[in-house]
Amino acid sequence: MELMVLILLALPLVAAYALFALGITVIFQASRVLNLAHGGMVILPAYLTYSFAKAGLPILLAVLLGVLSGALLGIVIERVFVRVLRKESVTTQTVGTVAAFGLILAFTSKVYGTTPLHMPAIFPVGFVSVGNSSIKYGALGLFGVMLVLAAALFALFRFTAIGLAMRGAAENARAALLMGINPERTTQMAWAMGGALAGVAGILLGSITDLEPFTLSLQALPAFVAVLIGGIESLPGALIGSIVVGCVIGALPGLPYVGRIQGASQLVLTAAALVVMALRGQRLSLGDMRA
Amino acid sequence: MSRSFSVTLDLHPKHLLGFAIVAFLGVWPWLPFAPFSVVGDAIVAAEYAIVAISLVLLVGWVGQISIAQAALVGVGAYTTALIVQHLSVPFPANLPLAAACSGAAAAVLGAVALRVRGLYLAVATLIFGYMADEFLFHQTWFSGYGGEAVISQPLIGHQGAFPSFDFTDRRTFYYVAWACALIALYAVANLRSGKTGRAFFAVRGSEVAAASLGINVTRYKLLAFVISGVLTGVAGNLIMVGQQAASSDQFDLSVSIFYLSIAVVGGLTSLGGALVASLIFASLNEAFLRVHALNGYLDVTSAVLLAVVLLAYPGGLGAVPAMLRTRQRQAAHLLDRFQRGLRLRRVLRRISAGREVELAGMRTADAPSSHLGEPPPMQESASAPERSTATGPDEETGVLSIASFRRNRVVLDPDRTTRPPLIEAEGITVRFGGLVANDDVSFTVCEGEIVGLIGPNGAGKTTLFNAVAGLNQPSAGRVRLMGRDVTDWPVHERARLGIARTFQAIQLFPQLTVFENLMVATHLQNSTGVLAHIVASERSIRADLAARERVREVLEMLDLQALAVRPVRGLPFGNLRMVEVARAIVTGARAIMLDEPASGLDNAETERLADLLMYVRGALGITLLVIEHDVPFVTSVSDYMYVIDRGRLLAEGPPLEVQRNEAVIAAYLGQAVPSSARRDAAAGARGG
Repeated sequence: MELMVLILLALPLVAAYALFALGITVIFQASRVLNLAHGGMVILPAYLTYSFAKAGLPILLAVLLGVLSGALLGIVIERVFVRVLRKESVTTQTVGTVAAFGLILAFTSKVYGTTPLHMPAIFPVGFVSVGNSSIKYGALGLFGVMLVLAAALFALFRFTAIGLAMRGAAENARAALLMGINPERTTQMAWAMGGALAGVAGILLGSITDLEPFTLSLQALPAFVAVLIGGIESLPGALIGSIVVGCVIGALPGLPYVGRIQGASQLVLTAAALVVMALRGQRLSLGDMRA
Repeated sequence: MSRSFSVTLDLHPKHLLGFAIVAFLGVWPWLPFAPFSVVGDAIVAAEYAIVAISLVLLVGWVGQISIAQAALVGVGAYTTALIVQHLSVPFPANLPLAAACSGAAAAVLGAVALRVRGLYLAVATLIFGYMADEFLFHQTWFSGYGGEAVISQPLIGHQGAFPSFDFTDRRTFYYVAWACALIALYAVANLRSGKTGRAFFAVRGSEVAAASLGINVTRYKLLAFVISGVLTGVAGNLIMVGQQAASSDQFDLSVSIFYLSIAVVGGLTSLGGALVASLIFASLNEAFLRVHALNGYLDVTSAVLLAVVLLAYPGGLGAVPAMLRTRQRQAAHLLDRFQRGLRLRRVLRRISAGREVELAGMRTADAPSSHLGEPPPMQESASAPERSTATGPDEETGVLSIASFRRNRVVLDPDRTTRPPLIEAEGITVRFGGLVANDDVSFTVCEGEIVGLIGPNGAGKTTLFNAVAGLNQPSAGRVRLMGRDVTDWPVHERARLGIARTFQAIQLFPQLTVFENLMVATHLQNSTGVLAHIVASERSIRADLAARERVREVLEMLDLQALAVRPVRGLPFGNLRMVEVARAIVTGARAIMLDEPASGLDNAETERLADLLMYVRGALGITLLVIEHDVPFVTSVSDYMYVIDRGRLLAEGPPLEVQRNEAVIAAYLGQAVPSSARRDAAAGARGG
């Protein structure tokens, strides 16, 4: 069935964008900064995992170390670029995340080169046939991992004390401080989570495609559109946005006629972003007041 | 004749050096030893400079981020190629067309992205850059096969004849490129020093305050992005014409980050810094190309520079002159202290002879650099108490004239209907979710009155205030200002009617001095347009001089001259309040709304504020609406009072009457009101 093919094409992208978008949202809620370094948090863990695997570590251990490095990277970016620049302005903080992105991109391209590298498979190599179409185990695995992680994230925020503390600190850092919560700690935790999620998605995406610093880091971009669609304040919104964006980008090249235009999905993505922003336009409100 | 002669005579050796440098920069490409490739680097530097200037304007001044500058440069470059290929329009004529194309792209992108509050322009430009990279620059109709566009540049005039321009010649193009860069620098510098530049800085400092002064925040952000787009178009055009070819990898994301690095290293807010940084990066570019060992490390180096400068030296190269001046001043200060020690002994001898006048003279000579616009850093701790003692007596004399309005205060006709209403709120209801913060509240402020709106903490005062100011949308009721229904108007439109305001949480522009803060408030009185500011037309300069005069007048009136050159950041709280009131007065508003003006002030300051308000109404004829919870303060100044509690209007009338009202006493002392209900109201109604 034609529709089934398109869905199967979109599935891994939806999963990757969802993991990126959840991370961007969690980080934004904690620091009020749009993390433009997210693309960097995608590639570095993927390349490190590649190195670990190359060095002979079992693939699962390599992946685990890669994800940890993603969490660590999140903490480092928050510490070095976001927290230090907080006394300047949100603009400077955002430029700081661009600086972090530039650093990661430049160093990764320098160390690993820009020729595509092939990562060892994480999930078994092979296909599942669905009707007259098929999907790689790796893509299916990515989707499954996303479902598990998203559910865990929702459970964390909903049912655990840590999640409650993070939500509280995001809403009102001073009040949280008075309640004995260290907002710096919860912010750091949010960045670690964002980094780990981006790392997971980057590693799994890299294992079913190839590793190339530019292409892979740009995979984080559609997630920003997803976040925009869902409204940056909401985790479920980020998921829904990812489904929309993933379907558009995944399915578009499979469509007749339009699919043959190079960059058609990027064009549609830009149009979608513009439409969403046009619809979301808002007037000046109290939230714009400097405390 | 004789005048120009005297000017030449005034030439300082330093100026001569400047002329020599300019003259050298003008002729060096023709010198026999000038390397051909360095001329090319100079052209590249000019192109960098134009893009860096566009980023200084957008990021440094307005606080918006674009990560698509390279893509916009690309739009300029490829449209140049299209114009040359299809319309056969040669170089100088196709420059404005290419600039317009990039400007238009920025306008479309910005018009949409800047409607959303926050830094969404960054995301929009990121996505645009991605789209340009994957789609636009790979369309054969737009950018040639594989993004490799080629144009041929015809010679203008006849080969070898005198007016003939061969733009393929690097030396000719050196002048063209730098002329463009310097014109861009001149135009943007003009923009900075005028009304538009002040509006830019105001938007960056506090959007809400900027809007309350009549600045259309979205419009100015868009203006900044479009101007920056036009500049990138110019750069793109120069790249295309200069190289006669372009490839899409010159315009991708990493190049955008490279451009951002140049602007950050230059200091982000400084045009001079951007210029110097462009020269440095163009040299780096050449060095990394020439030196084999450095090949391919340019991206890494520029990323490291971006990070290091941003974190360790946020002022970048732009901060270097100020740093040198500080060093110089520190040295001068040490010298001065030494000399003063010598002088003091002499003065003491004279005092003993009965000539005490000398001391006062020495005092004023102490802070010679204060008119430079920065406080002398070394003296900060030492001079602060000195300043306050110096302004102390001045303040007292000022208070005398201001305080006189309290003693012979204006007596108004008790019949309010004789005065036209300026501010009217009619049945205002504001809901936050299920919570009703204001329930059907009506009040009126008539011309010439001081009206107090009081209520205990959490009564919904600020919510009501913001509904009138336009910061929240009432779910029912109408707001009329100057007789016009403004319920659906945005904040900056309301300001146009002649309403100014102050904020409970001070919203001054922290990067600007007190004087500059007040200059922003002349926005609405200044009718000159952007183009006039870009070319610094006579009319715009005249308007600026008038604005300065007005600010000086107000400063003098409120006795704030001593603070004029001080940056707002770091002033004591009481001063900040006064400056905010002064800013509201400068707008020339007929009515000023003050949101809890006494909060955070001590008793003496509150008294001074009360005097000031009487003065503002009595001497300037400005109508005032004061929202406060400090009851003695409000009753002492106002002619008419409204009391709200738990979102509802409780009582209204002249202060003495209201003070005796039993419901009001109950609300303030908590009698006859069940404590649980009060707690609910207090917890909820404060929503705004």
